[in-house]
Amino acid sequence: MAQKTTDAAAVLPPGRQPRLDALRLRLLPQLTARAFPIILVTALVGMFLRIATTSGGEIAGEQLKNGLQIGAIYALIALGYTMVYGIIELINFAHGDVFTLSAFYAILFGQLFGFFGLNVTTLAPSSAGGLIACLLLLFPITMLAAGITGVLIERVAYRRLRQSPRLAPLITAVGVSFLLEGVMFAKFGAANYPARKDGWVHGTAFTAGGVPVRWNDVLVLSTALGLMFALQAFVRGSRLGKAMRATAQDRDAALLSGININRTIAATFFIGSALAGAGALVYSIYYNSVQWNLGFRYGIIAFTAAVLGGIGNIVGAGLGGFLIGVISVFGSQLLGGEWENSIVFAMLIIVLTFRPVGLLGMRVPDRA
Amino acid sequence: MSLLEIDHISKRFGGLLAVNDVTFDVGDGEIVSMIGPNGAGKTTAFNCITGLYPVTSGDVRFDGVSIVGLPPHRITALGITRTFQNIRLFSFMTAVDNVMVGEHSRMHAKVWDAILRTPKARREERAVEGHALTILSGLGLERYADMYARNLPYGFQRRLEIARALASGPRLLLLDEPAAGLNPQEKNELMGVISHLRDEGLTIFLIEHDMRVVMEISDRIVVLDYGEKIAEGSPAEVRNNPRVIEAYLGSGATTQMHTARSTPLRPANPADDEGERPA
Amino acid sequence: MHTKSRLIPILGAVALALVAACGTSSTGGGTTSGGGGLAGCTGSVTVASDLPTSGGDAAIGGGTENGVRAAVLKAQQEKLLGGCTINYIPKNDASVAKGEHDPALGAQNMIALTTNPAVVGVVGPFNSSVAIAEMPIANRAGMLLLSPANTNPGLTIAGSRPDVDTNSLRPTGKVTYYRIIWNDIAQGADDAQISYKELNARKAYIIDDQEAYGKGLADFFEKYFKQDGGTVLKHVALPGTTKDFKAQLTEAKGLGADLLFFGGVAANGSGIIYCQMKDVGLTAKYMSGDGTVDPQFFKDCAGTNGDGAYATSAPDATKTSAGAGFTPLYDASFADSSRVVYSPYGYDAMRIVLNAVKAVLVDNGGKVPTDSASFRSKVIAKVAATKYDGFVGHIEFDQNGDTTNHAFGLYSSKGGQWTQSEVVQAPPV
Repeated sequence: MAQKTTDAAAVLPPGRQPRLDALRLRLLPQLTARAFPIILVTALVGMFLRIATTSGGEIAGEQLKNGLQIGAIYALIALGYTMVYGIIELINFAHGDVFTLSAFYAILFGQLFGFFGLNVTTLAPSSAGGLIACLLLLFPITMLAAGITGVLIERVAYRRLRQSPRLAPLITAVGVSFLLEGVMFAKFGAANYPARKDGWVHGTAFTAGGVPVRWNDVLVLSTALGLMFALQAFVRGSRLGKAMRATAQDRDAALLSGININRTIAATFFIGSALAGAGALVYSIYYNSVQWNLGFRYGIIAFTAAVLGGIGNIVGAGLGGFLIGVISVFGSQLLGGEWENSIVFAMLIIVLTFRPVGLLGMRVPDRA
Repeated sequence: MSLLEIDHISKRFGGLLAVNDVTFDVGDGEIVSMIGPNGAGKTTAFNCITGLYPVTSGDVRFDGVSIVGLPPHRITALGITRTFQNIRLFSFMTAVDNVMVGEHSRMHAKVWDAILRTPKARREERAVEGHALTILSGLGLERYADMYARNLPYGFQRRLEIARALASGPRLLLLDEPAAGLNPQEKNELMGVISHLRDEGLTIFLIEHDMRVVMEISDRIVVLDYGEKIAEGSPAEVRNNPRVIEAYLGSGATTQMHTARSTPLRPANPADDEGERPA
Repeated sequence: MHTKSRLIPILGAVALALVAACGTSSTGGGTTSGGGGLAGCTGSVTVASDLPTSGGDAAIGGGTENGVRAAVLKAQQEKLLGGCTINYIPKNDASVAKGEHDPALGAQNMIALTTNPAVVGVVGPFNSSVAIAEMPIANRAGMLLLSPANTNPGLTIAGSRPDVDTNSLRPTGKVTYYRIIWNDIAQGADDAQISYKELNARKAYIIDDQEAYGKGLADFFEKYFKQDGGTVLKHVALPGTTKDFKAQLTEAKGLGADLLFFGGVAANGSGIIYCQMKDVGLTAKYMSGDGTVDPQFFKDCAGTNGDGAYATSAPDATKTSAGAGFTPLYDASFADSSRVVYSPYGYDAMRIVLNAVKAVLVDNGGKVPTDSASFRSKVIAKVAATKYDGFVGHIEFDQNGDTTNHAFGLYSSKGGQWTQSEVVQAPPV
């Protein structure tokens, strides 16, 4: 080692070596950060082509669909992470559990309707109209319950800690997460809890390029995309949306512009949790069972999606969700399913190292 | 009649008495300036008035009603708004959106209306946007309505901050060093804007370091030093007050007040940021 | 099974004769005599069980524990130990933290049981991962562990599993662990043979749940399926929290798999995988091991979607001539719906322990030995020499503690139930 250093010093003019290093240190991360989206897209296309050549284009297309479908659920959860982070810079670790709890709400409301004489488990699969009626009933009520849960958590656990050092609300969030998991474990048991929504959505909707797309996939993807566009329009266009963006950018200035900060933050929690609630409802229909500890894994993957997209950025969270879904599915075919978690969290580390602002982090205007 | 009454207020941060038993009034339709060396407690006093800090003791009355203990957004709704020493616009929102945020406290649609985007909320939204554009044109900012606040020239950012403050329809406007960082031309324009606003019936209370601006536009001046009020009166009275001269220039100084202090180019010096956040 | 009236005199006489002759250790199965020679016995004997009876394993673990309880109740009713009373300590190794069987809790339970000098033998555990945690503790304490359900071969056969150090499970070098069920070498070979010969599968895609049981079974299946002439397309290990297997199943479809083998327990996705196979249009046959034969399968894959899967498990003893009498015995104390295929195994395991205890008491002149350590080691010696005809068939143990009985049930799913279609003798391995 010592020998090499001497050689380098002898060859290079004095002062050259450190300057080169400095240059490299400054330029390399910048270049990687700039090129990151291109590298990512290239990697995805490469993975797709690799699957297409080994297993055929239809399988690759199906895997893409699988990735987008699971990614849609990650995206719906990631929105809540990113909105809350945007406005109070808190990683709300309880958010994944709000998702799980909402899935149980979706199940319980179905049973509740039964109590009032409306049997959704037979009405929904009976006809398209019955299904739509059930969805029209379940979507608002599940999202409302999820939203209220989020608001209550903020009110009880986070509001008082808003001026505390960052670590305090973070640890509280972990605590709330454990609390919710404990409640769900005690109430619904350890095993997968049947959602009793089998046959609600079935059959193939259409075939695109040899890839059969089922109505189930259509439901999940359209819910995610629809809600994401609605959210984006809301945040950009509405008064409350402006208040959320203003609060995210400068809380004191927002306060003195007449914005009720508490209400704005509560609304943020409401909307974020309601979106997770919508995700939970489609999850319970798609997978037909829910387990108490589901939120841990889904939550942490959705968080990764939010970081990938640029935490605080709404469009980024949606994009990140879909990307993480596709990356995990492609990766688990190419490297083996046991690598799925490793791939997702390696992604998190790569993003934090090379592009900590995330894919769309530069475009802060969408932040709320 | 007094619009704002500051009644023996004190503010303590731990061992530091930032504002010490200060009393003064701001009359309806007046332009009142508050001056004092760095660290005199001026911004802290502002923060106490706008509800950002709770006062340690004393009372603040607005239009005869105590506003101590009210949350900032309620105080804004009563008719007090402010600008900041170091511009605090929502830099990634357009100019018109910034003003619309300022109108927040005047809107009546509830959170639910906003989430569900009811016709009521939409109607209100359109009306507010029209009003915001009117305010922008009133301050000569209509050209910049759709630009991000961060892309506006510095002088216009100052004006946009005033526009945002005006949006909530205040009766009392608090300006924290509005001339900081402006060139002489922009300062003249600013003074024109302030006078114009007073003519329209607004009461203005400002903190300012630039003595030319202060002396030219103020009806009365309040001087703070080490958290205490050391003088109050017309510009001429204050200019010749020996305690004021001493506070600014140290003992033995003479009457060169109006040239005594050059305005810093930018309010970047953290020492200017008195009491921004208690440690 | 055996009628009481006929057996009492015969077995009672045999037992007495043997005891009288040389004090050896025949603990005749189904012995129902009223504590032959122990009428004067005073004091009490404590036995225990350690099974997962809550959380994700509640159904299968609870049903097994009921079998154990049935054996204790039966022995108490018929005064198997004469004047001596039988105390029973049921332990639960399913923790709240894991929501299912938890090796850490199992180890805690085992410490509690071994440090209680009254306890002379333990039936359990249910899961091999728990056994790995418990065996060294029990072995150091010289305590009998008799499992009704552990099938990991590494527990008894050194070198059979790369991830289990069998010798470290027996720090004293003595065998103190026995099981009355075959191990997964036999099960893997059996599953492979059924898949290849009966289901005509040639190309298998294997998923396991990363646990000792699931991975072990999947590994042996892979080995024997290849030996039988089949091809293994891929073998992936996914964590038990996985809920979405579509990526793997789509891949399997692309590879043209005609068999999906799952090595794992139902709580880790047996039913989810089967339902998602239909979602992605994978038409391969589904084969799995005893961990899948669990009501949870139908919670995750309900209705007709759950029909048509195959799995091997312990044979349903109640459908055999030896086990026909079990159902009424079980139903006398417990709801029939709680009965699982391991219930008779739980019964027979506890019965073997109690028979061994009885033999020790008889040897000891009808008294409860005062020295706990020697009592425990004598019980182990009696168990090792077991020749027992129980509900699950004839049981003897080899020198490793494994049973010599290798009967499997082949189950298929239909109408929300696992139904045994045949009993298969495992191929020699």
